Amino acid sequence: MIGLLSRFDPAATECLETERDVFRALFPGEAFAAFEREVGAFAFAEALARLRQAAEPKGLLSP
Amino acid sequence: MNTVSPAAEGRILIVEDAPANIQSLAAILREQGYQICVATNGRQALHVIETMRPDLVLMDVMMPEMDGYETCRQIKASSAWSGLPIIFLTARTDTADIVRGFELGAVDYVAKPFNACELLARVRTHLTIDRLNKENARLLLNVLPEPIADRLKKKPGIIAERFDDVSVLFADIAGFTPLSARLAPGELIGLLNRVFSRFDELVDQHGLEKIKTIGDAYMVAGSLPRSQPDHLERMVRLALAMQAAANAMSAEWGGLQLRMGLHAGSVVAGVIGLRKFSYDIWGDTVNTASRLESHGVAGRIQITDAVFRRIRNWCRCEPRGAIEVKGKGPLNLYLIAGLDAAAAAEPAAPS
Repeated sequence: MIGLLSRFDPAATECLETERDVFRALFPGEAFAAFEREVGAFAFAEALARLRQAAEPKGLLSP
Repeated sequence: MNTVSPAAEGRILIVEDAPANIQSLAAILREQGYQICVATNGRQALHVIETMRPDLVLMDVMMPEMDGYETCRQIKASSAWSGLPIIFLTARTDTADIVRGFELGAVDYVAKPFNACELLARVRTHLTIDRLNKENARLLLNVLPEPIADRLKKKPGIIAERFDDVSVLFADIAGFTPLSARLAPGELIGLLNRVFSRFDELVDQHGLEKIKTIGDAYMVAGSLPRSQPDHLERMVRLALAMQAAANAMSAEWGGLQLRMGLHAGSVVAGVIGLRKFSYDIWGDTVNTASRLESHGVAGRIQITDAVFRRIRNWCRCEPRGAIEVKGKGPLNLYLIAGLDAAAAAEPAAPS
């Protein structure tokens, strides 16, 4: 997903749809709804920042 | 829908603020094999262009923050992106709107709602035109320096400029005639191609300008069309590198030595003619450099007194004394022996 968002690739919307449960588990509380809104509106820069913010504390980002 | 079997090449940026339109456009284009990126307004589009370097832009007109016209204007004003093909894709179909888009530099205009086959045909056409334009530009840069090619594109015609301080190097393969009698035609052309291709690389590395090849002779100039204060140093380093390259290939061809002549002074440079034109230089400096080569020594770089005085602080030279040069009379000539220790330790100037 980070690759798709970084490349401004609209396939990010399909990735979210396919892996919805994974992303829901990643984001706390209302953050998932905001992430979903941003991806759906193709606001990829904002969605990427939010995804990194959620993934980093969980050690999911490669160095 | 037209389903072309081989994947289409090219990255297309969709600039559109309506998510449903993005989805349908992306689906149509991706099915053909195009790579897609997306921006939802003009400002974001400028950022995506810088990072993703698309081959074509499909642009809506009415968008928040920065509309399509202003985005198009900014793209066309950028020297890096002025050639990027932009197709407007919009519901605004008044003639005045269409004309405005073309005046701003768009290559095409597709009305919404659009027909997918027509859109794909237009995308393919403009990507092909863009590819051919790039190929033409590449071919043009093989025969002309970039600033000259740019000038000719803007204003075709004769170009002739005087340059007061240019270095000119001629390099010739010593003993080429007996070599050509010994080798088969294919081998001979193969040899020249390998030697001159290596020289082309070295000229690029030293930031100098190859002028032409004449038979087995190779001609280079320094400090044109852009001025280079260190052109003589670059040229001496190039001549030594060419010598080393020839030595490295020598054993393979049963002996390969260059005879080189280097002089500096004023020249007239330009492009003349209508067909098979090329960038060339003329003047006494060119004739002298050529004579230095023809009156030179195999395996050595011969220079004039004028060049010697400018390089002697960092280059070791051996005097040859006064040599009678055809059409010039006696000239004090020198042979380059190599860079002095300090100059040899310094890296060559970047190209």
